[in-house]
Amino acid sequence: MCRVIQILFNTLIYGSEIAIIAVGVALSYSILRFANFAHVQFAVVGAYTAFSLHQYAGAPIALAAVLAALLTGLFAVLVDWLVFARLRNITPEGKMIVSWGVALFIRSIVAAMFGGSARVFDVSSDTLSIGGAFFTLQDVIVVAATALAMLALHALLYRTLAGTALRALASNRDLAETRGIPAARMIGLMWFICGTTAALGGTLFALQTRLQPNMDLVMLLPVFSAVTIGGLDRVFGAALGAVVLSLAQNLLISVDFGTLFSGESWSVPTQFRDFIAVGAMVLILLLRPRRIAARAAG
Amino acid sequence: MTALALSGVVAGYGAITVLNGVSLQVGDGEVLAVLGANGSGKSTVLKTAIGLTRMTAGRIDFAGQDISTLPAHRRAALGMGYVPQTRNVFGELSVADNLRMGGYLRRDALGPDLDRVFTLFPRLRERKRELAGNLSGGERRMLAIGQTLLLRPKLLLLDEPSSDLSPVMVGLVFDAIRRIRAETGIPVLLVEQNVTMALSLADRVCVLVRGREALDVAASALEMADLQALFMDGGVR
Repeated sequence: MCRVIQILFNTLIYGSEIAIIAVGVALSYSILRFANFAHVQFAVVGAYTAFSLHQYAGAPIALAAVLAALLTGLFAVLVDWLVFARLRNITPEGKMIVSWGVALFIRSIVAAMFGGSARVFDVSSDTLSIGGAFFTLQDVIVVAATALAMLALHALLYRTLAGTALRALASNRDLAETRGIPAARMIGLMWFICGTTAALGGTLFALQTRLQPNMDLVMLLPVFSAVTIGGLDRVFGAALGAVVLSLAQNLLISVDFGTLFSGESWSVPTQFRDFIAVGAMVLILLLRPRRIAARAAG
Repeated sequence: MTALALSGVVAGYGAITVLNGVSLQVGDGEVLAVLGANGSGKSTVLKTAIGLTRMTAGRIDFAGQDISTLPAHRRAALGMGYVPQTRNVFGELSVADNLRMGGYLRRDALGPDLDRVFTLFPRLRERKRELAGNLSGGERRMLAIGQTLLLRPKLLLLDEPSSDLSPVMVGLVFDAIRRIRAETGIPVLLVEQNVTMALSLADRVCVLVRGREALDVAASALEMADLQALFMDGGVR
C-alpha cells in the first residue's frame, strides 16, 4: 500500500514540474503552429535567475521564484521581438529549426555566465511521511505551486477577455483579427505567459535536483513527450500528458521485473526514465493516430 | 455619401493576383450585391475590404478615411463587420464566448445587444454553452452574423450567406438580414451565388468578371440576359 502511495506521490511531483513547462509549448503551438524548442531554455533562464536573486541578492526563495518568472516572461517577449516576430511568414518547419538555434544560443549564454558546474539551491527541507510514503516539504511546495499556477492559467484563459481572445486567436486567426483582436499584441502576451510558466517550472525543477546549463536536455524529452501525448495544441492536454507520462515512468521504474520473472531482483534503471517517456508517447501515438495526425495537419 | 469605396484595387494572396483593378462604391444605407461566377474574385473583394489579402495597388476609403494600409483589427475598430463564408466561427470556443469575442472592442455591457441577437436567432440562446464547432452549418452562419452585430458595425460585409444551407435555413438567414436592415438601415456589401436571393435584397448590383467589375447597375435595371452572358464569360476564365 505504501509503495502505491509513494508511486503516486512521485508521479505527482515529477508530473508537476513537467506539466508547468509543457503548457507553454502547447500554448505557443496552438497560436503560432510550431514546436518551439527554445521553450525549455526559458525554464533554464528562469531557474538561474531565481538562483541569482536568492543566492546573491538575498531574496527569499518564493519571492525570487516569482520575480524570476516575471523577468523570464519579459525575456521571452524580447526573444520573440528579436527573432520570431520577424519570421511570422516563414514555414512552421523553418521556425522550428530557428528555435533550435535560439535554444543553443541561450544555452551558450547561460554556460558562459554561470559556468558548467552544477549549483544547488541552499534550501534544506524536512522529510515528512504519510502512510509510509516519504516526501519532503519541498515536494509539497512543488505540487502546490504547480496547482496554483495551473488554476491561475485556467482562469486567465477561460475567465478573462484577453485569455478568451488568445483562445480565439488559436482557433481562427483571421476571424479573430476581423473582430478587432490585435494579434501582434496578443502574441506578446502569449510569450509572456510561456516565459513565466516555464521559468516557474525550471525553478521548481532546480529546487528538486540541481542547477546546471545542461538541465535543458534533461527536461526536453519529457516536456515534448507530454505535449505530444496531450495533442500538441491543447494547453491542459499537455498538463495531463505530463501526469500520464510521469505515472508511466514511476510505475515502470518501481516494478521489480526480476522477482516477477526469474526470482532475482531487477528493475529498470532510473537512467532509462526518459526512454520510458518516449515509449509512452509512441504508444499513445500508435493507439490514437488519427486524432493527433489530424490536429498536426490542421 | 459613400460608406465604402474601392478604387482600382489590385489584390490577391501571395504571388497570385485575384482582383485586377476593382472599383466599386457602397452608398450610405445601400445594399450592393456583388455577383459573378466561381473564381471571379467575389469573396476576395470582401477579404480585401476587411484587410485579409495582399493589396498591391489602389485605395480603399471607409468612414471618410483612407484605410488601405490599416490592419484588419483597426478596420474592425472603425466599424467594419465582416461575416466570412467558411471558417466563420471560433470552433473551439463556446457560443457565448464567440459572441463575447464579437464584442471584443466594446467597453460597455453587451447585455442589450446580446438580447437582440438572441431575439433574431433564438437557436443561439438554446445552444449558448455548446462549442461552436458542434453547431450545424446554419447555426454557425447565425452565430457568425450575431457575432458581427455585437461589434456594432457601420457596414456589413456578407460573404455568401446562403451557401451550403437548406432552403429553409436560407430563408431564415435572409429574413434576419432584412430585419437588421429594417432596424438599423446599415449599408451592406453582399457577395452571393444565389442571384434570386441577392436581388431580393440589393439596391444595386455589380458583376465581377475575372477580378474586374463588368457591370454596375441598379437592381431594378438589371437585364437577365446581360447577367447570363457575363456569368458565361466569367465561367470560361
